[in-house]
Amino acid sequence: MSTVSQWLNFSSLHPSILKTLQIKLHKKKPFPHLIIPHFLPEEKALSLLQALTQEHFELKESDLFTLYQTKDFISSKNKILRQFRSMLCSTEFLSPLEAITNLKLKIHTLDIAGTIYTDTNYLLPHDDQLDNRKIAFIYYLSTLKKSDGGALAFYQSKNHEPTTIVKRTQPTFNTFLLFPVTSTSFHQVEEVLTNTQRIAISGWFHGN
Amino acid sequence: MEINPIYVKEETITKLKQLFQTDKDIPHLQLHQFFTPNSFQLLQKQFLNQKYSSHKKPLLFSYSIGKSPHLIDLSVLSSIIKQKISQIPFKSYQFQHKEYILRNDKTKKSVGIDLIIDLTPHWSDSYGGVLSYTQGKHTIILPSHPNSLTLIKKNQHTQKYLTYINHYAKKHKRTLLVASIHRK
Repeated sequence: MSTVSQWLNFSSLHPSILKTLQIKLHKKKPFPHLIIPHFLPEEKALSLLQALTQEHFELKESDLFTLYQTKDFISSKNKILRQFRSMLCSTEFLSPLEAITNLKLKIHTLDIAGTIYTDTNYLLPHDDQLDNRKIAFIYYLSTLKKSDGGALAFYQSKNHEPTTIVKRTQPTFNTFLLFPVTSTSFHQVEEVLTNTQRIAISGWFHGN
Repeated sequence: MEINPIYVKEETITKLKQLFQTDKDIPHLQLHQFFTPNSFQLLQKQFLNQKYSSHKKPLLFSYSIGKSPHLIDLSVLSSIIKQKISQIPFKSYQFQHKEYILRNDKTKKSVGIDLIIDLTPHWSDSYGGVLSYTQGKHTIILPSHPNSLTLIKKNQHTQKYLTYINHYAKKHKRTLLVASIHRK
């Protein structure tokens, strides 16, 4: 049994906290997003990192990206990764997420995989819109300094076209970042400039 | 511009014509040492240090374009491409660290032949910046060769892209002269 309380630093969120997070999310520029530091208890984050490093990462290359990625955790043999996935798409986790984002999410449905970006790896601008993706998320399992590159960069947009980068977030261990997928959620992963690995778990929550 | 005399010989043209016409997937040719060394030096002198202005549409491309088109007489290619051509207007493009061209549907539907003259003096494929053309399952990768002329026949499904240029490129830039001949 994998419950939210077993994984998270908070088992239930008071309605006033949900309201605060909702306001915080929608206030963020250039498009709504939320950054949650210290997402998991430290030992849980470390066990997840250890489990992830046992997975096979495949090099993925196209005109848009060069990065290493695992298969979706739904097919992983690793119990910890499967449990983390189950927790994220459980009613217990999705209910507060729906309250914060005002989005209706599909229970037990989630795309989730591990990614590693190393020296020269990148993901160029895109908006993530595909199928029924409602919320994009990324959970960082490594920390990169500014000089390491690898920032998640957000674009300002005009007439549904990205124009310039107006916000950058450096990956920080045990930080969970999410944003609703819309026609203006243009973002990119900037090139990693050193041998420091940018390790993360990322994916999408779906709607009905 | 003086072309390497080997490319003016009738037997070479016949051979190249055959190669170009029989390549079924993405017909293309890359002709090395295309200009005489002196002519190539003149081209480099003109285009490597001219003023370029930055153009960026993040979902499509990021590069710089030179001031004005440059006419080059390539009538020698008429027989190879089976279309009478003479003075072709080339645009100059420069690509540096963080720049790229993404595949997109907007480059489709432009049926004809792309001509690319590579003026880049020193380039390593480890910098990225590799130019590719795709068509369905087929992809051709065109490595950088200074003083080469590349011809690529495009149909309505052909797309091109240039991979992201990474930090190992430092101050190096890829400089290309590009022209398109539309099918008549």
